[in-house]
Amino acid sequence: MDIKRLINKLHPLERKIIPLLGKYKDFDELVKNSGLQEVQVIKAVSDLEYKNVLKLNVEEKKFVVLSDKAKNYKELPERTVIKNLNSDLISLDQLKKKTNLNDIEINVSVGLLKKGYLVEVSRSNGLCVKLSEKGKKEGDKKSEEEELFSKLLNERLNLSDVDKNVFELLRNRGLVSLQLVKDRRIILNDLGRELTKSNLNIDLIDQVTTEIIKDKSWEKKSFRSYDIKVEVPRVHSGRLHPLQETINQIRRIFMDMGFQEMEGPLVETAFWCMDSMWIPQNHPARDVQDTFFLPYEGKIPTKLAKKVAEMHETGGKCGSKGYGYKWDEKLAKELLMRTHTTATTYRYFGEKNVKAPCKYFYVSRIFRNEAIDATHLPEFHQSEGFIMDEGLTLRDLMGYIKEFYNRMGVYKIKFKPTYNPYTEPSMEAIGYNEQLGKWVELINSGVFRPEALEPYGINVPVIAWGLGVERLSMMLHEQKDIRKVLGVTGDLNWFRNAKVIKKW
Amino acid sequence: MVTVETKHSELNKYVGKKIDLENLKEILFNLGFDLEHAEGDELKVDISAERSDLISTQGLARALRSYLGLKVQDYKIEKSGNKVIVKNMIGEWPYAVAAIVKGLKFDDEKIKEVIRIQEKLGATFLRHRKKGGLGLYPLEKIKFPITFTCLDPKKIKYRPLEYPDIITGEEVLERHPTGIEYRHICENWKRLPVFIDSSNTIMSMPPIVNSHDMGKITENTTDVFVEATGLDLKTINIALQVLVGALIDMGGKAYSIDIVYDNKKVVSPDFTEEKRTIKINDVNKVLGTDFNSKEVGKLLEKMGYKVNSSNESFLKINVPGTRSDIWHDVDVIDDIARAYGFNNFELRMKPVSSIGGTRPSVVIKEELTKLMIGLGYQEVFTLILSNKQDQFENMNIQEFNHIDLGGSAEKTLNMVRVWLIPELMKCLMHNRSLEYPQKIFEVSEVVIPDDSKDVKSRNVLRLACISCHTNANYTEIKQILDHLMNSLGLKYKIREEEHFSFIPGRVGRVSVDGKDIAYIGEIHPKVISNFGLELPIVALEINLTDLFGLDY
Repeated sequence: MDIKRLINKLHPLERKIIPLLGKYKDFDELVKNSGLQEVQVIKAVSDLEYKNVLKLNVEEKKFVVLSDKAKNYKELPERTVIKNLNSDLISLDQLKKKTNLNDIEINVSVGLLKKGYLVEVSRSNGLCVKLSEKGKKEGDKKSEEEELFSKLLNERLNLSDVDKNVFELLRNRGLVSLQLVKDRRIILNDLGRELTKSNLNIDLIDQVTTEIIKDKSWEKKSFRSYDIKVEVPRVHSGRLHPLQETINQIRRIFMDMGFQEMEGPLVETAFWCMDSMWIPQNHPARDVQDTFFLPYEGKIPTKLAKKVAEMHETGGKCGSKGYGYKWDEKLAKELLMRTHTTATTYRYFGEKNVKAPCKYFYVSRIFRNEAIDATHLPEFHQSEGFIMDEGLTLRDLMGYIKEFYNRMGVYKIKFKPTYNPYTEPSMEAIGYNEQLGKWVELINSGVFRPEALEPYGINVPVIAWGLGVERLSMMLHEQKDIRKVLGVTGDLNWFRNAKVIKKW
Repeated sequence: MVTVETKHSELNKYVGKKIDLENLKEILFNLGFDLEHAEGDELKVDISAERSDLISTQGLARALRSYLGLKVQDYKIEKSGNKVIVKNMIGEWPYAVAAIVKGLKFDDEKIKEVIRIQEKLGATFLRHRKKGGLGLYPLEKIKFPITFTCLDPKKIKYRPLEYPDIITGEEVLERHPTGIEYRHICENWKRLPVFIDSSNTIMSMPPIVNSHDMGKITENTTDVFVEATGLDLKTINIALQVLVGALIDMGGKAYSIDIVYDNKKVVSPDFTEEKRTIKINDVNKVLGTDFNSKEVGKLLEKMGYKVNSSNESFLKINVPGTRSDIWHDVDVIDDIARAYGFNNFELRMKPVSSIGGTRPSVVIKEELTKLMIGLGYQEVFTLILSNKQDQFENMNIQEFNHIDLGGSAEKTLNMVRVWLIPELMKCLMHNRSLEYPQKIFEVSEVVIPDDSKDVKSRNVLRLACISCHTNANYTEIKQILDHLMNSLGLKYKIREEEHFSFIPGRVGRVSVDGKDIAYIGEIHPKVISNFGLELPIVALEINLTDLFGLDY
């Protein structure tokens, strides 16, 4: 790079340390003499390295140092022991008193001295010890360990300069340890050397200010060039929750297809949530363990309830056998947290008296009495849509589902028959997810049963489909844990950084 | 869903044809079932709970035979002339059906298979025995006629299955494992049902447990007495059919039993098939097809129906006696669609003219969300279900009127939330380790008790936002309120208010056109600590339902 352009680009911190680079090659020295903080010098040096001005050589060096325990010694314990021995036997207890060493130190020292034949041990009258002949002659000679020890008292030693065996001996006794030190050296290249000699004191404009703009001082000066590839800190914008993105996508598709949105209460009567659509009163879905039944009683529409009761008991006049049991009004009055959005669909059938042709949809919260884990929450979002018109058939249901799926970006779909208490035929739609490379079950659907329509005077076909929103959203976002999506355990970090899903 | 465990080799044996795994998977998929698991010879098939006829390997094999176009034999039942006399029954458990099956060769595997069918029926179709129970007994020990009656639990004395002693009926419910498991069924019954043979020996105490001496099948058993009892005659008859059918397919020969009530006599098992007339027009109207009656007939036979006669506009058919899920012609039409294959239909989209649109509440939520995001706030979704500790106590306020949850599998939940700020506080608590500032908001519903409504409550749409960082203060949150109200073109007033979740003197009640619609202020340090947080927090919660006069 042209040195002029390079100088123009230098950051004030870089400008500050460059003159010092000729003098200080050691990084730590540089920091000490720069008057800057270490992080600032690190940034400047690494930026300069990036600009091909220098190279920072980092070498890890291993030093042998005394351990904390050994730092308390003036000499090794065996020296203290040998100093306190002569040719007379002395018991270990006495030795302990004389030397002020502890049991372990005494034992180790005596063991070591015995190994070197410098002392003799007698067990005749308790454990006693005295200097051997060899000990008398050679006892004053320092061992290799002692040599190393005394050196280490003054300075740390490079591991490579120390005898491996001696080091190991002392290390096993916990007297020495290794110290890892990073040795950072700055190596200037030609450009760097030239730079250190260059005049960096040109008056450059850093931050543009109102003053500079107003007084036009920029006309006579240059702007410092920035490193435009610089890594910048992340910013956190306000964002939609990823789940809301999915909800919006679903709502948009429905509305584009001419569906009108519905709205209904979160707390429902069992009547609207179950009885109205011919779910029998002994159906497993009505078990306490699956549904939040509330300790209150609601009200039900009397006239309609009569028709619904007849449908459960005898099948009414629509050609059904009915369930053949006695329908219990009390059970229908129970309040619960709604278990599906179809409850609201039925309010539109029974209260708003929607008329064919029409199309409605709803995306909202539903509840299941479940303990929380990675795949279960006691509440989640359901989306459903229905179409009511003369002449609708199973084929149309399939056609509309395909259209819906296509707009979600899923093109390959398969249908699988299934069982729902209020639709017949019923089916699941399975879509091939290109991103995941597998078939995923997303939609449940069906043609409403005559028993589930007659009480509302609906005598044209109604087709409907629904899907779990969390599941879809989690699939799109490859998120495996529902707790990170919904609820107070929602992962703010994920919300902040979730990818925008391709919808175009 | 019910999972049926079977063996591939057994299934092939009963089908009488080898079906490889891929093929089996596809057939089951087309029929609406799943081959959930296949490992070696072991298969697990998921069927819908309504199809009790498929619970046994034998039943599943019959369905596959029909589907493959192989002939399926009717079950033959001969008369045994033996009787079960029903008398003095309680209303909770009035019915019994029974049969005899002879010539069985039970080995260990087969006993297990029969017990499996019996238990599966009990757990699924009979709803954990609440609707009925099944029993099997070695025939040789029984002296006919049998009496099915009810006795005082203290006077019932027998040795229940695998139990060391003779105990009373009352003790069975207290001590026997099966008694303990199922005693809730007969919780308030004054007397308990029993089968007693003519030598006055108690055979069993339905629906709880058989006698060890009279009701234990062993490898030496060849002939059995089978019974089903319960609340609903139709249901127990189907359960009996499924079990007897499987025993016949295993090589047994079945004999009927006369069930003698005070006023009538019923022959069981009743394999009578329901007759139905299916109109071709109805079929085509539901499915969008143009099938003729011959095509429909073929599809029906594939699903196990018998076609007795037909012309171009209708077919007269027999529904298999084990099918409990046929209430209406649409159920038969659904089977026609399964036989045809859902994926063979040509897709169509009949134009239905209607105008799309949404609700005011949704639009309001959208608009406010846009404003909040513009202010740098992150949207969150918390649960509508909450608990009193967080909603009231941790917020330093007295409990007020709310909707209680009756009970919950998740112990931390006991009420429906009445405000959002506590939930946002919890959200911050769970994200403590993230970078600050943390600014989050939610536009969502709370539920407020309202006796004027049929559901004793109403949804109320709220907006709440909180900001948490070292310099969070009242000015900041007032700016948010100001911006929202200005953007909405609303003039508001603030007055001082006492609210213990906030710092005294730094909390206000906001009103628009004389309606109180929001709280605003600095959260009290005590509350901040209650949620395990350490930074200043300011908060705002607006009641959008009241502000905009929404109707839900």
